[in-house]
Amino acid sequence: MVEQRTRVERLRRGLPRELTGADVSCFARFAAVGGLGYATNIAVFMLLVGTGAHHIAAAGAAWTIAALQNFGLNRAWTFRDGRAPVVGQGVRFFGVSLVALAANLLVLTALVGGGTPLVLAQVLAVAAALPVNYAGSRRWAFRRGAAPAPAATRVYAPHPAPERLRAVFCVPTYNERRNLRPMVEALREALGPDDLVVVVDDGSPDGTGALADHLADTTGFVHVLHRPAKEGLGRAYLEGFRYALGLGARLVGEIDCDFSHDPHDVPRLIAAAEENGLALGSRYAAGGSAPGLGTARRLVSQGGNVYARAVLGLGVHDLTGGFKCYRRDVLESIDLDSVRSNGYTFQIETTFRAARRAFRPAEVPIEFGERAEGASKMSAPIAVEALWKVPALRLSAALSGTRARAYRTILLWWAGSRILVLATVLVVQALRWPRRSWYPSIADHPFALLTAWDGRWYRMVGERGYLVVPHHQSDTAFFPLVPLMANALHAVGLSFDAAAVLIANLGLALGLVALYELTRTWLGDRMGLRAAVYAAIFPTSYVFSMAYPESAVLAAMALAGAFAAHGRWRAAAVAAAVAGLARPESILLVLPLAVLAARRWRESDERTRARSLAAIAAAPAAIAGLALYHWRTFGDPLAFSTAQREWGRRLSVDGIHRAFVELSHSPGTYNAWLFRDAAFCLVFLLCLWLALRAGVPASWTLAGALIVLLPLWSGSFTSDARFGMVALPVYSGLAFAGRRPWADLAIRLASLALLTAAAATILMRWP
Amino acid sequence: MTLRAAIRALAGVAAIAAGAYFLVSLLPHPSPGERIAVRALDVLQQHRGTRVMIDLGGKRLAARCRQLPHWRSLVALEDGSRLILTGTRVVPLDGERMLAGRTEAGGQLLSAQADLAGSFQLYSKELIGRLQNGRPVVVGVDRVRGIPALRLRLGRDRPRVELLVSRRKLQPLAARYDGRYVHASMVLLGSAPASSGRGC
Repeated sequence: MVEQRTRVERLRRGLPRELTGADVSCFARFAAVGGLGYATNIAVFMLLVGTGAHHIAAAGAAWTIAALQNFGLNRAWTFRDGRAPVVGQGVRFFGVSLVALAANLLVLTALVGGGTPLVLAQVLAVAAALPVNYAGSRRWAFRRGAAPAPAATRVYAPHPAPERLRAVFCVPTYNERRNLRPMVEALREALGPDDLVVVVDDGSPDGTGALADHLADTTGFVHVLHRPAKEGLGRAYLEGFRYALGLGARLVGEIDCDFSHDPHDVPRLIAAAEENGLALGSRYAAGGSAPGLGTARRLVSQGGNVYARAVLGLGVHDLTGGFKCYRRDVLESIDLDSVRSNGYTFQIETTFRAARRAFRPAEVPIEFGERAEGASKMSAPIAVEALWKVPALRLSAALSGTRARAYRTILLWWAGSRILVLATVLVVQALRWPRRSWYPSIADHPFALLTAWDGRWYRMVGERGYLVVPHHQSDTAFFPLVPLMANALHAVGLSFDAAAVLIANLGLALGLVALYELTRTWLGDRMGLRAAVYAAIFPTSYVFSMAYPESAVLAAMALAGAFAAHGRWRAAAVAAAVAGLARPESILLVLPLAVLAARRWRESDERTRARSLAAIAAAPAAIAGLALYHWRTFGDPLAFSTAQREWGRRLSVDGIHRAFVELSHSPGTYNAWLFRDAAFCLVFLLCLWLALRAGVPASWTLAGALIVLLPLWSGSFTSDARFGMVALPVYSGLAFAGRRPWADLAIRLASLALLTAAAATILMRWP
Repeated sequence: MTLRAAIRALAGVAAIAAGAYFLVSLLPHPSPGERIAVRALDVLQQHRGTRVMIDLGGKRLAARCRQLPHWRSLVALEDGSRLILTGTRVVPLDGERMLAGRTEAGGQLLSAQADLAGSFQLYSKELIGRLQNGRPVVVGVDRVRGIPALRLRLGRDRPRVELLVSRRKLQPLAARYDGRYVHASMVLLGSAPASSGRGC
């Protein structure tokens, strides 16, 4: 009573209600989505401004893309309780977004007019518009109860189901009046006394529903589910399945009402389902046929099956057929409430889900006949749905469970750390700190700092190809992967700099996921996750955002290791070859891959052995391909190392001695930076030792140590802080060091602080 | 392991190497002009200019160049003035010219004299700068004393400095300087191998 009075009093005063845990959680989700949208907004804005677009047009386009992204994420995640039809919700959300856009443009115009740098002005304008967007989204666009109540299904069951109900066959209908009676009669012949037919009618205007009711009355063998409107085949089946399970059926089947499936095949289907859990009437298994399909439909159908089979990795010939029978335990295991497909992909999804739960579908060969009466429901949107739904199924399956949570965590840390790096370099560029005369403006060169140093050389290789300038620094010192990939993106309209930065950052996302996959094979899930997070915020990880190949090397080397660990040698070979085209250190992949292959040699068949050998040699082979190119072009297969000499990198026996001499004799500031590189060298070695203690294979640790130490033989510690970043076990060692909560927190805080400092001094010293 | 598996592995490795070669060959190729520039650079690095005749707005002036320690060069002009070249920097040795060099026109005169003094090392540096910035180098053809020549643009585009080299052997023949205040040219009178220790 007191509580109620307080509430009333609050309402009278117009005070907001107290926040609940759900509110906080909702706000946190909205903030995360907003942060991601913010990053997208800024990135798109900079890209467009960088390619010459007017800042107002760029802001509008950036806002639209970010709003689309925010809408999808908010609908699917933040406000998932307030589900409503997508169109209405979308219209309301974009209405709110437009108001927020107006606020954004007003602030932007005012700030730019006042002389604020463009990107800084856009950052402030987005921040100012955010509260408008949140309030509108929360209160209106995604308001709870906005969705209309689902229309109720009416059940017509004049006779009770058999007491010892065995099989229920669902027959979805829409305008099947002429086929329904013969179908029910045929099923009555094929099924036994303990079986039942459930007609699921979608409000057919031709009176199919009324006929079904009549058959239910007269046969005592039919129950009818009347759905008020046509909501799709998948929804109809789901209602039928739920109804059948509710009746206690041991087997649940489905059959089309148009006689393209022969009801006489039902007993065979039931027998196979009882034995295997799931039986599919198959047109394309041995003994099956489909004379009822015309040439064009057969091509589409078979093409769709080949596509689905390849994408989902299922050994089933006919995934799209609608003649199936499930055992009760199979249907219960596939969680009908979470099935999203509605068209023909419904069949693919249910079979895929069953197969993922270790049920091996049995294919019963059938003859697929021509539709007896009526029109086919196949349409272009259904075919298009299948195109994207199939890979989506595969992806969502891959991202389920522990791994999905780990991927989400990794991607959040990736996004956060990249926003930190990007924001830091933009602030440095906007403030022109430290003072230098050659800072370009953000509007002209938004990626100037991220494409500095070696980025300039990679751009030259991309734009002009390799050119050896005798006895001088030449671009053959740089490997071709980054220029090749950036050129590919440049061809679709991105500037070279934007493409190179985009590749680096996306490469890092892939690299972190691959690093997680590799590390979990050594040390388990938790260590894998921690290693990936530490890699995302490693103090020198700003290089992973620059137009450098380090993130691609990280990704390719980790992928090669993870694929090899799972016995996928062909994929490992491709990844190792990609690494070979990115950096020379990748040649050290030979060591761990060879040890792994040797350990599995005896249990491998000949094909696997051949593939493992190819994977071991892949990185050297790719480098050999590059050397061959240099030899044919410049007559010098070692043009890479020849050019490296002009940078003072010449491997020699006394190199490490010279490196220490340089460290102790270099003057002032240069010396301080050298000490930074030397300190990182020590940190890397310490981490590698910890990795070895934690249980990382010695071959990987040795390869990591060589990556860190070999450059010292060229006579300098210079850039070792960068070279060591691709020594993958370093992050495992760091994860091992951070296994206690306080250590974990300390590492994260120190890494973030050092990363910010390193990104802020990007122009003071090359990485 | 059977021979068949070994062959299969070798085929895989060969395919990867061939694939890598194919991918790298997708990169753009240096233009013919850039290739010529690299060859010309080779010639410049193996020889040194010793004597030149500068035409400075109609006034003809002989100049000599020689190497000094610490990567510096000394340019001595016929009128008695002397310049020190360090990399691409020019410093006059007499105070009056140093003062004159502080004006824009005076600075340009100094830079013209340096560029036309026949220092192959200076030409190398300016050519490398141009190559490394991806700017076009070979900008046309001409004739010097009846010899077919290629015009190589050096340094930045303003002022415009061009080195004329013979089409056949890419030997330097002459140079031109076109600035806002100064228009000048030179003809090379002598050069020596880099190993001779003469010229610069």
